[in-house]
Amino acid sequence: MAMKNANHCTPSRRTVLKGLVAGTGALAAPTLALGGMGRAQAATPGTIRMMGGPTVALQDWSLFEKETGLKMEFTPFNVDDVGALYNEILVNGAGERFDLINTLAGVQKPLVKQEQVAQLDTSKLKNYAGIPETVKRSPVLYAGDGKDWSVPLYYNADSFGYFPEKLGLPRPPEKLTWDLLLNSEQTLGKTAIDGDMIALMIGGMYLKNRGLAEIADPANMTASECQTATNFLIERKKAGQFRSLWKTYDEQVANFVNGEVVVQRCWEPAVKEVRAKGLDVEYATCSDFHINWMHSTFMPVQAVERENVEEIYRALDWFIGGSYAAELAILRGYTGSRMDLGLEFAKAQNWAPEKIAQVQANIVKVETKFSNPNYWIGGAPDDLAAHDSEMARFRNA
Amino acid sequence: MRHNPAGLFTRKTVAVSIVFGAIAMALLYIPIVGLALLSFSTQPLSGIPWPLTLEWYASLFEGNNAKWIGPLGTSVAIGLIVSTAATSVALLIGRALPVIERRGGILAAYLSVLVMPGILVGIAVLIFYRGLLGIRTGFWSVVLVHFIWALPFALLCILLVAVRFDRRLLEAAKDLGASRYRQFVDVELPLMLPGISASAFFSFLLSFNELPRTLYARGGVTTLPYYIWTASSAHSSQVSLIYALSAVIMLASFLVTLLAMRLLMRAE
Amino acid sequence: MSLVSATSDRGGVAPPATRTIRFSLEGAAIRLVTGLWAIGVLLPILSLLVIAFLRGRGIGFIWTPSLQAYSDILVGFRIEIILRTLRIVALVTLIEFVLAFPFALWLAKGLRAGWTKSIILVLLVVPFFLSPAARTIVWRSILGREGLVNSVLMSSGLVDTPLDWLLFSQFAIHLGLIGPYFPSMVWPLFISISLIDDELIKASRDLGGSAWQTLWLVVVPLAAPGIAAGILFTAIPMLGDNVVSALLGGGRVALLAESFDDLIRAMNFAGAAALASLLVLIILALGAAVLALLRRNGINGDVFRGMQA
Repeated sequence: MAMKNANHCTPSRRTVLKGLVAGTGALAAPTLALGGMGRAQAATPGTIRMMGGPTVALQDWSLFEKETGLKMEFTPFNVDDVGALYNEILVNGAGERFDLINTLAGVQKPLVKQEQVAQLDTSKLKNYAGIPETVKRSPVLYAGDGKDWSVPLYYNADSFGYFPEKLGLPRPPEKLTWDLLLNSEQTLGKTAIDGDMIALMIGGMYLKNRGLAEIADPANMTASECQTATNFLIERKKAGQFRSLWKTYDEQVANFVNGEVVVQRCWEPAVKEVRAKGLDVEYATCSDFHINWMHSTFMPVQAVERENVEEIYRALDWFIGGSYAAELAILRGYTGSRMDLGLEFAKAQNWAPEKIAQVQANIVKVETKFSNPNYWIGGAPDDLAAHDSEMARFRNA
Repeated sequence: MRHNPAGLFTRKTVAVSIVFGAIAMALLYIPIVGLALLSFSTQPLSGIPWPLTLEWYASLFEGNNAKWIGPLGTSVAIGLIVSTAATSVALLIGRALPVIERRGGILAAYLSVLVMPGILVGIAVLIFYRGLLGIRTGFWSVVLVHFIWALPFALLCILLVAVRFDRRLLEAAKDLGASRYRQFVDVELPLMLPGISASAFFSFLLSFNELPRTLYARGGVTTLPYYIWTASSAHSSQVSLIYALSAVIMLASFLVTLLAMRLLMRAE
Repeated sequence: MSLVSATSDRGGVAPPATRTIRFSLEGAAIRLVTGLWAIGVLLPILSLLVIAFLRGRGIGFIWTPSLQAYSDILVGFRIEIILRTLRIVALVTLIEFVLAFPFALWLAKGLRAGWTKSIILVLLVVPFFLSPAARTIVWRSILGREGLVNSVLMSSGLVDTPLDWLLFSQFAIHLGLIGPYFPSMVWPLFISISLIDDELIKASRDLGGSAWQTLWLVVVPLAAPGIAAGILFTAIPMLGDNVVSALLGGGRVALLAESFDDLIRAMNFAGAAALASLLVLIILALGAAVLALLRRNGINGDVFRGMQA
């Protein structure tokens, strides 16, 4: 999915600022007091201030407001740009301005280490216990310390989109393999893949899955594993497999709609949107592997002492409740962390049958897709520099 | 033809000039006209303008979608400040530059920042002011990085006219008893006007569309390009709204610049 | 900077008398502003280059002096990317100049003030207001496999299979760059040509100069500052363009701006700074080479000279 590059080394506001100072320390300018630091902005009772990716936001928050009695003040942020996100939190002190911060799950882990994230009191979240253990204890959320830091909002098993009719291929839930995208004469020159380092991870997953290379964790490769994956991708690129590499959602949609590709590694909403334009495109269910990712939300450590902390918990609980899960399933096709409550909600609200079917489809999706070998991605590889330079090599090839 | 000094243009050379210009203008405007057409399309990314709809324009002003108005105001405000500041400084430096010593060094000092990649300028400002001096980034730092971006270009605009300005005119005005202030206002300013207006325009526009420097220097400020950048990271298409917004801005900027241009021409 | 050079005594026209600034207030203001610029702008930017010699680990910098960043950056494909970027920028800038010079000359000297002129000038301003990404992505539906151009070619029977090289290619990048940077070239040329006194051109003709001689010996030298400014206005922002290559290159044509974005995203500030200093070095070397070439051919690089005729 949307993960870009993050960093696994341990940033904290203090080390960042120290680092910044040390970096320019050669100039021996006097370090002035860091005025205005750590000054928490007063909370407005009754209002939840949330920062997050635009994907997290609903088109209107009226259900939230009705069910919680709170007002939502949502500030979109390009959370995919993890460097900018860390900058926003560590340097710009986003925790002082927001009650809740959403990230791609995994990105919060270094922040936890640096005490930027408040530990959750899960007894205040009545819907939390019902979230499957596999989700709560997934490697992108769980730090192995027996504590809960970040609430899963929704997750998905990513694959690729394809035109079944043009290719003469079956529709999901019939299973396909990643060969169609990466290694196929039929689709030569008519596929597209991520233009960021996720492409390398996919290469790594493919090689590992086929037993073609020893790769411990494709989402966190060593420099030499990275090189192996890149060599494979470059070989495919030279063979003319890829029509283009994309970086944005709009490019994915345009690639399908303009007939540039027949198969494309993409995000599920892109397929949804292309289908809404009347094109016959499906999002593949695979027999070999899927790419799992998750969006999660944490409470910045500064929020704990705010007077509205009870309200923040109420808001957080709403995000793992039925109405958000149901609405999001319709809006984006993603799986909420409590799909069971989502289905209950949809039925209780007397939603149209096709909408209920859409909600139900997410439950089926989890059952089928998550039974495969899965690779979670999120956060960033330890050897970020190697991933970055290998990605540049792939793009330049 | 009154405006054909000494037959510099023949019918053939005029034709060549116009054809060359038309080719470039076509390459410039084909995507823009396309964008304007597609802003009425129900499926903007398909590249087919029909079936037509006004839906996107209406939704531009509804609920969450109307949030571009604040960033637009911020961008215009920053643009105006940057334009005024850059043009004033450029005028100060630019009108003196042709006649002072060590002008090469001074010019190099102002122009050298141009070769630095934008995103690094933003980071340099962040590290220096936020990290080293501990000053919070925000509105002022956005203005600063835009100013750094705009000033060299503003200076070039002023220099275009300043190098041609005949200083003997000032001497003459002085001999006729004009005060230093009147020399500047009555003699120098009118002759410098094309450079000044170009500088003001360019500084504004460079600021208005700036993104890479803003990314790291912005603090909590949201400019219009930043807003669009954030919106386009949504996993649902904002293209239709961005197209409609672009079309609105296009029309508005066309009318405003046309008005400004006519006023300027009258002033000349 | 080819704009800048020491005053030497070659060239025909006597240099304008340099003088110390008369008005103390003005002089003080210039010194103050230049000083602030040096401390507040040049110093931070130079200090960034110091970072290139440190070894950083993300934003949790662990600073130890190192040449690591340079050895990471000085690899074959990075140099390839720099050279490819410079080649594309140079070629497109040249194309812009060839297209823009006659057009600017006609706009400035061939077209009288009026609505036509106003509208053309306004059309050269409006594109600056528009989001580059929004208008660039439109090319995809024109150049794509099922795009406008291919549809026309196919239905007219000129080709049997769609032309793939129209999009996601160097061709697409060149084409995509020409439009947006055209106004940047036209404006400085237009301003400097407008400032040339018609009488000078007439005089040249009256003295028997042909149109070409007038152009070459009167207009071009007098428009030299505009030409220099036009090249800077066009080439510098183009060097930083990360939109056209990303949207029309399709990951097949890697250009420099993307490299910077990616390095910063990976929070490899040291690497980005090292790459930047490498870029600056190459640009300076190219500038020096161009200047030396001009000198050898007897053209003086100082645009301040001979401009006050």
